[in-house]
Amino acid sequence: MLTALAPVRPSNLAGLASLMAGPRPVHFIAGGTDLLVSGRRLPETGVIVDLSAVAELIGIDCSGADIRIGSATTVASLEAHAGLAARCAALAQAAAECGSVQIRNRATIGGNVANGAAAADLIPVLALVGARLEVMLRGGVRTEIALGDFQPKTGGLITAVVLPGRALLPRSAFAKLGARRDLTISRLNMAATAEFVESRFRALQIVAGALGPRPLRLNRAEEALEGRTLDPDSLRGFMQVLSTEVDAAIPGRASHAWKRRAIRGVGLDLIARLCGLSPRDPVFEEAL
Amino acid sequence: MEQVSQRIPLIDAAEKLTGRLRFAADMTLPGLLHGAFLFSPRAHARIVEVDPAGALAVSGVIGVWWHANTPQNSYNSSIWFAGQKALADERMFPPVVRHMGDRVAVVLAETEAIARAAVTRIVVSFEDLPAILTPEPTVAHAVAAAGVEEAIYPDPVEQVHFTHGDPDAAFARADHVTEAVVYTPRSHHCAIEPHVCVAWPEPGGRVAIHSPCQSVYAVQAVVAQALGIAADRLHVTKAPIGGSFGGKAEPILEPICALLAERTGRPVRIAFNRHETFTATRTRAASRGKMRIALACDGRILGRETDVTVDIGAYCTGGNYLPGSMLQRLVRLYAVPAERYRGRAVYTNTLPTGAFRGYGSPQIHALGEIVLDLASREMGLDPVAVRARNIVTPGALEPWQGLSLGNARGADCLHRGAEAFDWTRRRSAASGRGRFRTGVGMAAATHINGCFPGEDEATTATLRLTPEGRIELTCALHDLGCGSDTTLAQIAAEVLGLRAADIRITPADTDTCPYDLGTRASRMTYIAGEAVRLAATALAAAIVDTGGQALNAARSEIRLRGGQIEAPHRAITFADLAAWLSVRGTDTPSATHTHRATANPGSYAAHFAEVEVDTLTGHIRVRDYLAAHDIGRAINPMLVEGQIYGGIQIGMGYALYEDAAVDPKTGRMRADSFTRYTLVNAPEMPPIRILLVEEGEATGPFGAKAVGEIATIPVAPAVVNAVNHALETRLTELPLLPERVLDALGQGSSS
Amino acid sequence: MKLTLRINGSVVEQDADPLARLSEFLRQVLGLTGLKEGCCEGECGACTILMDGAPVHACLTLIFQAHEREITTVEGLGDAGVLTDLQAQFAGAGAVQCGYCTPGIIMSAEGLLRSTLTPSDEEIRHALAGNICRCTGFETIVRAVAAEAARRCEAGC
Repeated sequence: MLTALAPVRPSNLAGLASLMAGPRPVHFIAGGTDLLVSGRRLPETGVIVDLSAVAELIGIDCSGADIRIGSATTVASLEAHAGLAARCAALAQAAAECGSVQIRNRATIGGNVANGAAAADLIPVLALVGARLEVMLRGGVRTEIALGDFQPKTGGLITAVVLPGRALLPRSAFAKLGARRDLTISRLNMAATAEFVESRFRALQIVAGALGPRPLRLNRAEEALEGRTLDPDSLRGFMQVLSTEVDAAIPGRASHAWKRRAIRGVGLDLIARLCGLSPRDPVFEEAL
Repeated sequence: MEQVSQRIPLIDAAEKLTGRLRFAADMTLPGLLHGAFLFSPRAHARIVEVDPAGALAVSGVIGVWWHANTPQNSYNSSIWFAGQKALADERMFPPVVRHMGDRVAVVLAETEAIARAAVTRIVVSFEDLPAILTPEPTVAHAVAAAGVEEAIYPDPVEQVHFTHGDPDAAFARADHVTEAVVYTPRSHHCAIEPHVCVAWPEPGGRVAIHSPCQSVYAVQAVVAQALGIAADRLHVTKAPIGGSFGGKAEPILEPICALLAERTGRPVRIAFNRHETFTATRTRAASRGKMRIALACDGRILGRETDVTVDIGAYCTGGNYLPGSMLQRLVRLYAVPAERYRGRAVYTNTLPTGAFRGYGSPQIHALGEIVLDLASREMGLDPVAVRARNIVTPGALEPWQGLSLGNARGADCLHRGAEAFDWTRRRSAASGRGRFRTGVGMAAATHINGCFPGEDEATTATLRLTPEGRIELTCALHDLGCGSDTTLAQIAAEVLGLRAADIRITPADTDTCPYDLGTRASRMTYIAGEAVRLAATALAAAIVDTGGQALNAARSEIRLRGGQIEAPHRAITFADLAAWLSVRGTDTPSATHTHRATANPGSYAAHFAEVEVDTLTGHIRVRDYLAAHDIGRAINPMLVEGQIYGGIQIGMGYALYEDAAVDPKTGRMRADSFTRYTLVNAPEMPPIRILLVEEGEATGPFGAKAVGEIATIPVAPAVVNAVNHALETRLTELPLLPERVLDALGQGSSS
Repeated sequence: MKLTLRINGSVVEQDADPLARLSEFLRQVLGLTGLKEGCCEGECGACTILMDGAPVHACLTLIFQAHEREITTVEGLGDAGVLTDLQAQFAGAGAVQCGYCTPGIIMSAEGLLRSTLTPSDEEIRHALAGNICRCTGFETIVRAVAAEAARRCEAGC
């Protein structure tokens, strides 16, 4: 054996807490779909803790005002959960487009957050709804922090992701663009939530992923549609603003020229999905 | 017919489907050692010092080998017989590394994990040399050559000039001239089985090599040259192969694996991981081609001028053949009365190139078929009509080697394909004005059948009745997964009145099979198939003879049918006959036939694609596809279709996604993993219809011609032409990445 | 370290490095070489196995994570040497060529058919997006899976 790393597979949170209170460095593995990719090396010492059997970390609770998702809940479970899809369609949609079947069956929501990849599919949705993280610190202390405040190296273990009920508007959607349609890393992704009052966008919020290290709130794009109806004119303004959002976010980057145009396509896909329409609906075609 | 033209499953399907087939990576051998390489991190550098101490100190390490303690024979990994003239510039471990991924050292250890861990502890110091990372600057070649005392960088490695007719006069009288430059990318085979080899010592100072390869004799010739030993000290057998597409045509691991087995006296396996398979094997050469076409107002091609440069990478391998191969393919598609061709192959300090499904054909067809499409559009002519006007006709002679193209049925592919695709209506339909634009495009293609007029284009097949009553086929056959073994078994079975599953095929083995070129140049069905048919015919005659004696019947009364030898009112099985002969102490009949090719007819195809382009994102979706193929006769239509489906998949990747480009600043391959190198997966594939034109080829077995390589050749130009139709663009740089599409629309970085 | 795993319906007790990849353990220690390692990055799907009935990558799972999970490899699908109905559909449709990706694809397809009774062609393609076959163009594979779905539906299973 080339490593002094010790594997542990606790079945409950108490066991996990006592490991975290111990003297050895603790590393976590859940689905392993990021950690074990070829070329990446396991830590050399300490304890590696498999979270996938910790009962308290698994499950989706939609019964309360907030939605609480255990951090070791698989992406496949998010995709398949009818209650989640009804209250936060964007997250279910992002889950369905995350990796392949094999990846979704292993990858977890906590892992997606902890890895914090710029192209992560779930994170923009979580940022959109202002998700909070339940975190267990070394020594067993439990605390709740904002999504953006999590520090992967020092931040302890994410035990749950909480979607605040007040942020879950009637409609939400997710759209992404990668090199190919299915099993692809996002080159751009977007999530939106809104309600429609008298056929007008209200409380529209939009977040983009893969436009920098962290999800980016697109305030100006929101303003371009806020209070407006879905019509070609509104969409034209929306698309123009999307491009300027990209100009501000990644000026001079190699992908800038393509993304400033492509975001218009992702943006239309997103709005179409938000409205339950096809991107081929005449209202979108006429916007060009 | 009972066997030919039937949709018979692969004779080895069950082993593959149940996972019981043992590939080289699946084998276990007592005492097996594992090798792992240290690869060059530099594009071009002299190795100043190798310090193996750190690796040797790791428990379980057997040894470390590099240029100072291995044979320094120069070799060429593309040769296919001993003594073949070829520029030998490769070494197992060169003192001067020529590209990132070149081999610096190998560690041999008790496990692969130990070997891989130990490799990182070898300390090497390099002295950088000037590196040529793009094919253009000739000056750089001279500089680089001056920096290395013994390295050879002839520039170009090879060039081919060809003139036919009077091109200048053709251009002078042309009604229309179109000119364009087409770029094709470096691309990678991506067989799902990474490169692997196993070798072990055999008695008598011999070494056995078990390798997933395309020719056991090519492996033997290359390893003998690299090790500087007699070929008969090497016993090469073909392992089952998890895809090749040309990627395993050249031995990469075999020389070193054999050397280590010989040095240690133990079995050795070296298995590349995916990254190594990307960066340290072979790729399809990138090309830049400029073409001018002179046309009459009715669409007749009056003349053509072609100038192609292929970047063959850091070692010659077979790259010197590419300019000639591309010319050979170019002149077999259309009857062009005046042709001027200049093809050059040049070195760069990048990963070497080699065979990849078509050997120059995908590149030259991308050039020819995209430029001809642009010409048709500029002239307001229908692209199918222009092609139909110019395509070669049955019996035509090509102008370069003067060979007959046989029963060339390209026109049938064009006409029947266009009709089935509803080409005329779809071509004139509006492409749309909004975000999504649709277009249809097509391309024609041709490919060879075997290596004729190469003097060694022959296959020897032996068929014999075994004492158990089975039929055994001995021939150095290398089924790459396409089902060539099944096809050949069908041919033999048809002649012998058996089923394909009754034919037992012995794996290719240099000790037991006569010399063969192996699987290359679309030669299996056409060349090996005819050898098998003729051997089977001879064996059938012998069985009829002996069967007549056994049944006490005249030759003319005997029929071979349903696995039996039948005379009127009586019959015996093959097993009965074998037993009858055995009792009499007589050998069971066998027949050997050497088939030497006397022709090289063309296979033809026309592909039709409908695409939808998202003008906001630049993404392209192939929505519908039709492939019409002149196949002569399909021995097994299901397997022929399988080749075409798979060829379309690889061709779509070539058109849209795949690019193994090397960073021109660092020499590093950018797309060196499946995450970075985008492959077409199941959801990307369009509905596909296939039309087989089966008009027969007199020189092929039961009229059959090849399909394996041509299946992928017209795909990329058909897709590109469809995109250019949808957008009214002149996209000529493959792959059609979204950025390039937006640039062409004036919506990219330039706007 | 002594590990207890449930593999193809049997309980397997074996000394092994618990931090090795499950794919290495299944292939090298248990000789279950039907699954292949094609990339070790979760892109090609050649190592696909069923874990508690769901397709996962054996190359992205550490052995100790498989503790108390039900593992099924291609060797565990049918009786030795006999094709399952799904495998027979593949053979008959021409959905196998070189065979290297095939066991992984069989496992993905089996996983789909266990969870979805009547998948559409689009659903089949989506379910197989994580399996790269470089030979077949997927067309015949999709047909074989669809045919097997129809057969199972008719057979009422």
